[in-house]
Amino acid sequence: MAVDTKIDPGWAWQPFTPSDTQPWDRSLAAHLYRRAGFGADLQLLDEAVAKSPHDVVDELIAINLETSDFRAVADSLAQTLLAGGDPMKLSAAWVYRLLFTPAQLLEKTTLFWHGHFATGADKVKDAAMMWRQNQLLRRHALGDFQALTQAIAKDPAMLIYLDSTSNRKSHPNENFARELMELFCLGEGHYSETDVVELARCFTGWEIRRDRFRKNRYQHDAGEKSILGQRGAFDGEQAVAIVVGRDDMPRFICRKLARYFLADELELTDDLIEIPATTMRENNLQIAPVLKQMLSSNLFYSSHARARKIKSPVELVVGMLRGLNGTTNSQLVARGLRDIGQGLFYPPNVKGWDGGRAWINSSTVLGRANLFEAILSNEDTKFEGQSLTQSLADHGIHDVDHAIDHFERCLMAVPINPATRRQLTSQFDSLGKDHEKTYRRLLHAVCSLPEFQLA
Amino acid sequence: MTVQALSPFRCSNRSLAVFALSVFLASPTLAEDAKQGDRRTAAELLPASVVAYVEVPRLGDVIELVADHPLRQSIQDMPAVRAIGSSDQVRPLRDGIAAFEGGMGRPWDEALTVLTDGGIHLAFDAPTQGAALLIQSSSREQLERFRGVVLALSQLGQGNFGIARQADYRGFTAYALNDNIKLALVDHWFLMTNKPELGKSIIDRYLDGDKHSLAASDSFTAAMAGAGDASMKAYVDVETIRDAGVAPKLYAGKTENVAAEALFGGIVANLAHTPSAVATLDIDPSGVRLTLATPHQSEWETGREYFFGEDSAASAPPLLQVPHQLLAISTHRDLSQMWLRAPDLMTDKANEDLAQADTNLTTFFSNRDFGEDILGSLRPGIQLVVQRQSFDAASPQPAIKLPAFAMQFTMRTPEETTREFRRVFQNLVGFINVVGAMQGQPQLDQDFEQTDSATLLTATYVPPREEDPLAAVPINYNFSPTLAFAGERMIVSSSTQLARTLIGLSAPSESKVKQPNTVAVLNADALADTLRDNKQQLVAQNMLEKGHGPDQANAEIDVLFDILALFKDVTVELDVDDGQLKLTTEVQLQSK
Repeated sequence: MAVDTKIDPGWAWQPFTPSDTQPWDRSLAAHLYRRAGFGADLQLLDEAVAKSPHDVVDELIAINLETSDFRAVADSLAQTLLAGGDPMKLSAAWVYRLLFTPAQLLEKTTLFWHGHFATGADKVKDAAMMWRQNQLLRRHALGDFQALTQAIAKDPAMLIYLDSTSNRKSHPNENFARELMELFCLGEGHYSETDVVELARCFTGWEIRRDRFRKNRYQHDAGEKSILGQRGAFDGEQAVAIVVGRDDMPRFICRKLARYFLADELELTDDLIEIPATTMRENNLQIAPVLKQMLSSNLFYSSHARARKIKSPVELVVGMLRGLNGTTNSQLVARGLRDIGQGLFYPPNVKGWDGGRAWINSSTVLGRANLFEAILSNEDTKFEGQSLTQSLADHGIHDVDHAIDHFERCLMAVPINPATRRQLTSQFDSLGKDHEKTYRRLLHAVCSLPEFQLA
Repeated sequence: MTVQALSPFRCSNRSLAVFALSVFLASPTLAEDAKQGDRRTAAELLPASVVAYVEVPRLGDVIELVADHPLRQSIQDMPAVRAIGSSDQVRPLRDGIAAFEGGMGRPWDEALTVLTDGGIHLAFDAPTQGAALLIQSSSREQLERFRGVVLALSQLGQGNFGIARQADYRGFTAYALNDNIKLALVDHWFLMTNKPELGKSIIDRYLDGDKHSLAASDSFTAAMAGAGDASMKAYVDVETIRDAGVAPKLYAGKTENVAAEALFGGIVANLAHTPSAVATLDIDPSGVRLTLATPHQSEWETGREYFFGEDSAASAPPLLQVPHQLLAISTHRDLSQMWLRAPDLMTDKANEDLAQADTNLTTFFSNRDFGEDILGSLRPGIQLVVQRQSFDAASPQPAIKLPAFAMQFTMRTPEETTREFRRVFQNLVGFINVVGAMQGQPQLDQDFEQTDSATLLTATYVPPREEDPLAAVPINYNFSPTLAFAGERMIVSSSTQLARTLIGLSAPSESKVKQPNTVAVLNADALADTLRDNKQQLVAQNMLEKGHGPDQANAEIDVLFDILALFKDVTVELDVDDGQLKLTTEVQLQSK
């Protein structure tokens, strides 16, 4: 999947203009929705095609808050589940949000930050705490990275996850200090061990008591510290500001964003990434302008990015359901996602999900097929609120050939290989007595194809 | 929607199936001479070797009762019922009814009433492993039409049209539905069976009579004598089934589950000895009553006197009655005797677990033997009550609202036992606090109340110190564990409020009238109210499990409440007397 061709940065981040050779059509609109969200049904795609790509991106960016009606429903759903105290149930509430949110880019970016500021419920154990962190990530998802990092530095779930609930001046806890620089803001090689020790001193006195963040002034080391070349009697907030304010930080974040939204294995040279990094700096570390630039760019619509990502489990399942207007048992999906490596609220470790090729191995390939089998055989799985047969009939589809065309149009980043298509057609030659069962088996076969794993 | 609303005789749509059936029925191959009907019962036609027999004597009465029931209109008016009635989901049912009515030439209810006016009878014969359906009707014409409907539906299902395979046996024509199932009209009887030899034996008995028929079986006649005028009666030859080795674990007499033993141990013991069992279903405007009865002898009780009492004289104390009562159970169980007899009643694995529990509990009760000293200090009667819980506006409102529950025991020697249980309660609360503190759970605050006639030891969860709009009040706040003593009574309650209510009730008095062994009553109104208290949870669950939006989820949960509103209560009663063990379940409907 790696592309050797050197990419011209000047061309790459220029706004994409549709042309005769690359018109703005359903296929490009579907690419945009798969990346900026989780997928779109035909109606949404047709609405997008009627606009310009820039207008669609502008709209996606503009919905940086959920509608109050949807937020009320989704929040009350999560709130209700908190009574049971089970983070796994909360995971199902997030699945519900992913399936129905009108603010797809916001939710996709929230999921990005969940992987970036990875915090696992298996260690935190407190569903309410995980929920508060999730709300925090959503609130800041497209906003100011500085504010997001300051907030996450005081988030009880994060501090419990990093064993940093207590930080005394006699024994500064280095965990959060190290991860702030290595995983959250700068990356390896951009700080020294001394920086870690000095940074940890800034966070002394920060602790979690009765599930809340507080500063214990008696345990704060008020002495002078030297961090990343700056000296002063810094406290925690000032320390975060110093790290976030480093020139390296926008490049680090933009690289991760580009891998998440554009392509898994793109060669992101310093020259190439410097342009969105500059955009981030020039916009006071706001995330939305960076995403707007990325999602509107020539690079995004080029062969360097199209079908150059392996779908994460969330993209895989939610994408299928959103693409066909499907609804199902969210608990089943939540459990299934965890089984195939992307349990919401259950990242594997503090580094989050590796993504890319790491999503696929012999076990998860089988797991992906099994999860679709479980979803499609579940009686609560409906398409446009009805059977798949009826839903297809509403689109004028009454046979296997046309059903394959429809699934390809709604779900695939690349066309189905002709040989595979012939195989599918012969395998599901006739609809038999039970049309519903045959269509569902066909959909299962399509979702298990290698082509479907690409976004 | 009701089935009547689907009837083509009451609406204009008729399916093609009706046409096909009508054509089929017009076929001259159906013509057959009718003979005079007879007055014999189905049991006289069936062999004595029948091990299971079900009879619906008057289906027409049941249909009429349902059609005229005051709740019928309420059900028809339910939005969910109307929606289902107009949906495609019931199209097969609509088509089936249309086909049936087309074939029978009259509305389905009328047709069924006439067709079955001599009763529906279903039997399973052990030696032939055959099942037989016998329908007796006063109308030969309706029987012939019904035969046509069955044959046509069978052929439609198989896509194999034409004249069904036929064979004659002693002047009666048998038609083959498939390789196994055959049907025949035997004058005013419709006979269908999966074993030709069983069908032939029924025709032989019809023509020749048989003094060894099921009707002549002593076990059958004795068992069915008490069945009375029920809407449905069923008989099972338990002895033959047991001897054939079916479900051997059921008759083994040992269980792995302590709770199952306490609840059903006596019934299972009876099944290991009884020759037969009878079930009757009575339907009347006020509700439905299902009764299961078996013979019972005191010598079958060996080892389970804890369940039946001495000489089957066990009598449960009266049911407790509290406001907003959801469930009340009263039973006779000598727990001490059951605990001490456990090696005879339960499997080795269950006994290992019990032995470990016995050691721990004995330690908890300061080395007093749990089975003998602790459980032995209580009389056998146990009363349980479950009450919908209301929460004081000033106190924390748990996000999931559970009902309160309490058990009432009678102590043999209160002056000795009270002190022991009080100390254990205090230890237990302390233990819960220590474990809870380790897990970040709220703490229980102990208190003591003394009234003129009672002593209460209460434990209340300390309210959360700060209000957090995001934090749901934990489930713990449903509980305020309380132990109360009032004379000989000891009450263990999940809530102080319920305990206070119970100590205000009078103590159970010795009744001269024998009470049932066990009785339980579930009130539908209180159940609906308890569920309504948690509607938000139910809606959320529905949204997550079915992918519904809030409106659709609310509508679906409202259907549950609509259905519950039809019911008044459910009563289960276990009676053991007069050589009989009888388990009765009665569902009472609201009057309108």
